[in-house]
Amino acid sequence: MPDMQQILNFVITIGIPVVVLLSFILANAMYLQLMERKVLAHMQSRLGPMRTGWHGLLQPVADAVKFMFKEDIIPAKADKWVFSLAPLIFLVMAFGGFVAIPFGPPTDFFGILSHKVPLWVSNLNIGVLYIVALAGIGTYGVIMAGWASNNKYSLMGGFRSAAQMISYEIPMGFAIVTVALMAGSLNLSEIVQAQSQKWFIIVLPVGPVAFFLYLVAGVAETNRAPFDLPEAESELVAGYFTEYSGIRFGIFYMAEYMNMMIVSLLASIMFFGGWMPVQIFPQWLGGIGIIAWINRVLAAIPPTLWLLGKLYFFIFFYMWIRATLPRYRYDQLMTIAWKILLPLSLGTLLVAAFMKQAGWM
Amino acid sequence: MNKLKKVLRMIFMLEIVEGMALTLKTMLTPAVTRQYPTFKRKSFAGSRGLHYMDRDDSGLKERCIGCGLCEAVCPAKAITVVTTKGPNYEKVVSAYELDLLRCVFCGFCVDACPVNAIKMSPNFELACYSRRDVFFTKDRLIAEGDKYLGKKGGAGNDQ
Repeated sequence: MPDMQQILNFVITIGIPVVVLLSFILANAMYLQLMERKVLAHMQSRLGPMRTGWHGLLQPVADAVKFMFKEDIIPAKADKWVFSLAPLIFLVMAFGGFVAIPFGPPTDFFGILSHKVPLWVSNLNIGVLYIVALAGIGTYGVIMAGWASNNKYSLMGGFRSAAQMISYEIPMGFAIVTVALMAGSLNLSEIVQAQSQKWFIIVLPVGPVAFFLYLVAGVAETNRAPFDLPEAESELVAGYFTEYSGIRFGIFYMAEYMNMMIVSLLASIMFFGGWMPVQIFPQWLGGIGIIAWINRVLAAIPPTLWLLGKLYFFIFFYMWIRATLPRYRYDQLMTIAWKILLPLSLGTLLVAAFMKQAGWM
Repeated sequence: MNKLKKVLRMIFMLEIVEGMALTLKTMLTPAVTRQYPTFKRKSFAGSRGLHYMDRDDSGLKERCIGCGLCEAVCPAKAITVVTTKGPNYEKVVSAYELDLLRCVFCGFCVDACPVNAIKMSPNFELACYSRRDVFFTKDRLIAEGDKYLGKKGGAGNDQ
């Protein structure tokens, strides 16, 4: 029988972070849809949603209400259990990744709290590995959805997505291993700490290459344009979620944005110093008048805001790519993964290991 | 040298960078969309919309003399003109009917009219809830004319 103190401790250490994190993720998943529609529209010289609220600000709410009240259709010949389980697996795996993400160093919220509290739910020692593993399991949701729908378009979408996710997991994994090698840890907050002097993106020559590999593989992992073959509209209707409607479709849609957030968060944590502020040449020019002043102002911004800023920049970057590039053909997609990214990632890893051993970084 | 340039362009993906620059530039320029129901363009000169009937110089009755030229020239047979004999043996236009469901808005009736009685306004927003509303009698055409001529100068506000 746990006493009051234990229950209270549990609520404070686990309950509050989980609730805050959940509401943060859900609000983001809703409003990133609006952001995507707005960004795409303006890049195509349109306006996007304008009528639901001021500049369409209530559009996600309207969409959510519509998803909820739509008829829940399960095709007659579908595999009922697998059909309804697939979006849940996809969603849970997308949620789970956030558990290991550190949103900032331990903080006392500008002196409001008596002691410092961590800004993560769990400080996993195998954080990166855990997130990549969850992304791998999320693939099962996609395959199950494609198979259970009993629809040739869904099946094709599911197959494509399985092949694509498995192919791109390899260069992505090697890029992540390169980072882990540079940081000497798989723990995400330790990876951030390792970048306090120098972000990994500016560790030449492996940093930029590993980041490029991670970026391309990340776009492919989240099934987004130009690698959105699993849901290629012009070929496969909607891919693996062709038969899904109502809230199940909404779940797939939201989980996609959550995956995008995780990939962006990982990119900013592993290569762009996580919550570390931007500093202009701290080593060479750090002491000079105006630059030192700018650096001080930049360092005064709370670390969590820095991380969120980087997160939204990467999400914007994904939308930007989607608005610019046309979709790849399927054989081109596989060629890029196996003939370009994989050798490149192996070479990067080799160079990084050599540099580490020689003590050059 | 040219080949090296090509290879370097490929390695650094300059074409993708150029494309990204273009989309970013497009995003920062204002969108071309006009918010239609709240923002309406000014109509162009000579645009052919809903018909109306002018009043004659006395302002008491229609300008139409019942010659039937518009009825004859109408390719869609949308216009029906019925004339009768008045008390002083003059010609009276007892009915002038226009069926907008048939009308193709070619404007031939306007060209054919010898006294400029039937004209077209730039009003193109003709949606309505009942079939009766698209069937225009003489009185309705005159009422449309009063409505249009009362506030001549276009249907909306322009930028």
